[in-house]
Amino acid sequence: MNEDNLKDIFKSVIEQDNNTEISETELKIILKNKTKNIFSKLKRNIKIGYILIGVYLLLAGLSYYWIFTEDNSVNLQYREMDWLLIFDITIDIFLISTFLNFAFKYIRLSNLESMEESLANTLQKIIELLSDYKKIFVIGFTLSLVSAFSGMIWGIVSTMAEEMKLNNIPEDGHTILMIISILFGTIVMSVFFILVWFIFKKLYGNYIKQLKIHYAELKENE
Amino acid sequence: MDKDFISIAKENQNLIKKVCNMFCKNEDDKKDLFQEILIQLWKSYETFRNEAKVSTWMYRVALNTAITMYRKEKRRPELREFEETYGTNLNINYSYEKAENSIMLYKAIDQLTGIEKSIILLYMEDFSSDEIANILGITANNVRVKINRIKLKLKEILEKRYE
Repeated sequence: MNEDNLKDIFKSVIEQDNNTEISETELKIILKNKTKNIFSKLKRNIKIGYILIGVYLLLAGLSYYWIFTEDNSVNLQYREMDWLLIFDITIDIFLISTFLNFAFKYIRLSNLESMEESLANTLQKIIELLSDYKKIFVIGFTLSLVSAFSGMIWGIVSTMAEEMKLNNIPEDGHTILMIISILFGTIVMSVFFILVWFIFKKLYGNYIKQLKIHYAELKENE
Repeated sequence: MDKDFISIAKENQNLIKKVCNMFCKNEDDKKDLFQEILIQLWKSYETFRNEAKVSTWMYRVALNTAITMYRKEKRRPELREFEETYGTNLNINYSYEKAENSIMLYKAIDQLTGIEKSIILLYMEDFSSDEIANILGITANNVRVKINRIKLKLKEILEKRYE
């Protein structure tokens, strides 16, 4: 097969069923559909993350309000435990930064959506965007878990400590209880963390890998 | 909806179909890709008004869309072979030899990577090395090296099939 033959046959292969013309009406209908590209998926996921972190911070704000206005024994104990308060507030500050980072990424995505740059530039920006998104996703989720579990662990420990005091159980029991609660919390958080990482890898892992392979192939010999 | 854009899209729809035929095997994927390319062309149409050549712009957007299309991994039904799908649609004036060659070439193209498919498509559409380099974002020299490698690869695949 010489090159002219190759071109001729190539055209017959890629122009298969090009005889069916799509009308202007059909084109207009197609254009009304939503895009399914990676940018639209990421934007949707960022919006969801945005909403979840926002709801979480709202609930955290409400819980602080309740803790400092409602004078019951549990709240009074919490107010005395400076270390826990500082810990929770620090986590919530990190979460607010993650929230703002999400917002910034969302705005940046809106400016990056165009597919009219060169292939190399398009691949590069998608790879960078997905890497950033993965970091924010993992950090945001981990911080949320840590914050949620610190409160849970403290709640379990203080409630059971109260029960122990009433039942005259010695002080050593409190330490053991604390250690068990922290171990339990760590195991549960680790399982959730691995699950989230696995889900992210399942959704985007192969896609990112393929994009990197394409980019490396493009830039080979340069 | 901009009448100019619809007119351009209608006149050049075969260009989009060529890209879909290169990158997709089954009809559902081709429809999805066609739709996605059309939407991306519409989105970038405002900036295009400054571009010189319609085909350069369209190929750039179409190839970017095809290569970066995200698909969830899912089990697909058995794909129909090229012969079954297109064997009867080939021009009745084609010789048996030409039809056989088409089938061979289709299978050979299927073994190319996404980047190789992009380059060979642009080369067969008579784009110069500089134009291909501009679309892909690489140097013209790199384009020439890649074209030679792809031709060699296709030749090796076709020769194996003929044996």
